[in-house]
Amino acid sequence: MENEWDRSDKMLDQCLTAMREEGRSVEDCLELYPESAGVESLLRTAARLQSARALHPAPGFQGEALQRLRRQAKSTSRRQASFWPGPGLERKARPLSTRAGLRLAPLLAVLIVAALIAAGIGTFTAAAQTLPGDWLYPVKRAQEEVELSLAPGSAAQADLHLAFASRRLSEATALVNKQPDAALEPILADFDRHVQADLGFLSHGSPLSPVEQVNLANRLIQATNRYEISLAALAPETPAAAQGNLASARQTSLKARRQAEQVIQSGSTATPSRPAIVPSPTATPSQNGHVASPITAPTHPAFVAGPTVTRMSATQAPNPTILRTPLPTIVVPTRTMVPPTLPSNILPGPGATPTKKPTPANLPPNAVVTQIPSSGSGGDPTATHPSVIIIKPTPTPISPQPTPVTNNFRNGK
Amino acid sequence: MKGCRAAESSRAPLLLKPACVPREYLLLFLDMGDTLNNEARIVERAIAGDFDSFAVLYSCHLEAIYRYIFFRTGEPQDAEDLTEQVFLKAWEALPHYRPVGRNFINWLYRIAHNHVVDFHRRRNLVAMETLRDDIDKPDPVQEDALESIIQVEERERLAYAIQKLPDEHQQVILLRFIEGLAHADVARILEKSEAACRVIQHQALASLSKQLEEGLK
Repeated sequence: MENEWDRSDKMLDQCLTAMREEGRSVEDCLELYPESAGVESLLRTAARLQSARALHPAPGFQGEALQRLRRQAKSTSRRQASFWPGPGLERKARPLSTRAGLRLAPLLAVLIVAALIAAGIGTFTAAAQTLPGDWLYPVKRAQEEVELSLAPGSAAQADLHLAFASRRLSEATALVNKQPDAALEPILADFDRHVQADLGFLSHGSPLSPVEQVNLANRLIQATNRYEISLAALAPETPAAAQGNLASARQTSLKARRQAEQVIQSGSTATPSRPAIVPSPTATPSQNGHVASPITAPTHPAFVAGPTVTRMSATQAPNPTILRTPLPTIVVPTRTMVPPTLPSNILPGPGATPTKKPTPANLPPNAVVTQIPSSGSGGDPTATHPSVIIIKPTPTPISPQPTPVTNNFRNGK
Repeated sequence: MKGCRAAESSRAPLLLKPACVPREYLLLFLDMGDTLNNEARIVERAIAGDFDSFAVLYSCHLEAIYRYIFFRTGEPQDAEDLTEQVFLKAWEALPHYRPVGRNFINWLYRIAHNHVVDFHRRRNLVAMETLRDDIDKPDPVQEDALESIIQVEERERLAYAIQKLPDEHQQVILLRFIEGLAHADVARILEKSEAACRVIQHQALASLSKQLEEGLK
């Protein structure tokens, strides 16, 4: 079988060669090689194929295609050849081939973006630790401006101003410790700017809602406590050139505090998240062993908003009666800690704590009710409280212990 | 322009006859002397980025690549488009071409084969149906010549029958009988042994004969 196939293949080759090189026809081959009759059909097919080879592209195609190729070759860069450029030839750049370039392009793009992100994150992280005079400090300040411009709403902007004002004071303190004769003027001026910005949010025409204004006022009061302490501590360390800025900063801080108190006292229709504990505006670390730890305003939306929620000022004289609102639920916060040296005129005394259990009957018609989030409940359920602050005359700070009292009005009890 | 016949035999070193070099490039290569007949040297210059050298290669191998593609697509326009793409691809990929022991035309055939496969994958063999529908339509350019009409129909019939064959059979048929390559060259292009190529050739011819006979019925 193998020999027969070999003979057949050899015969086919001989005939094809004769046809191609000698111009013989199939009939000639069959006559020359009678044994090739077995492959006659194959020979005829091969002959048909060979006769069809006189095929050319359309006239003009070669030249036009070459022109297009030349144009595309010029626009398509190639990698530089690694060997023999040829005499008198300009070595042209040999970039990545198109396909290889397309394959690598997404990977390269991802790597570049990742590197940029990593570099950016690293830069911002490093910048956050910088002090004035460091080469990355401008990045930190620029980042703050970006954060302010991207803040989702005026309330968020106001919070950022508070944070940045605190940051300036921290920087000033660190800078003075590091370099006693450091120039504090720009830092204190920026502190002033941020506090002024928050003052703007508490003034007429503020974009904040009344509830937001009250919440901001509470946070501002807490913040100004820290500002006062920090500024007082800075005073002896501040160079003479910056004493004017320091005085201005203290004045602005005091002004902000008073403005915040006015907002809280102004009888807004909304209740702040939690009235602040207000230490003396003149409190300094040397005067007080400590100051009240800030109480963070609850941010639960159900707490902040509410059409019938009214506000109670921390500086308001405690009312022994529970203030009534149409809302059937009264939740009275009781957690706080009070330093013994706090002025009593702004804090309700222990005696102010009402003893009556709030019932619909003993609620006055103009009652003001403060709500707090349900979290932290579990305190004394029998406790009644007309105010949001309970002063416990103990020198030791007491960890916050919310004792919300939920009356049973909701259930009609 | 006459096609470059230097690729017909694998035994003789590949020489580029000046006949396949465009006249305008002859002036450019006056100083090359024998280099003009040495494809390896021209390929080296093309690899180095010399487009004029590449144009010589293009001119010498254009018709072979065109024929190869035409019989696998059946449409002159598709064949022209693909031929142009093949040479553009060749120019872009030349820096990766390693000329050692291989003829440039073999490399071009491989690029052409890949383009044809991609073409059919995209077209999902629609071209074959189109070819069958149009098989009785004479080429308008050559319709005044009966001989030309017969030739065109014959080529289209062959192209249609060839496209029915398996891929390897197509390659062997075209490289052996349309392009006239030796078994050794076909074996190198297909990366198979010569014996395997002979078997494939035999089977392919038998299948094609059957296809053509069925087409006549």
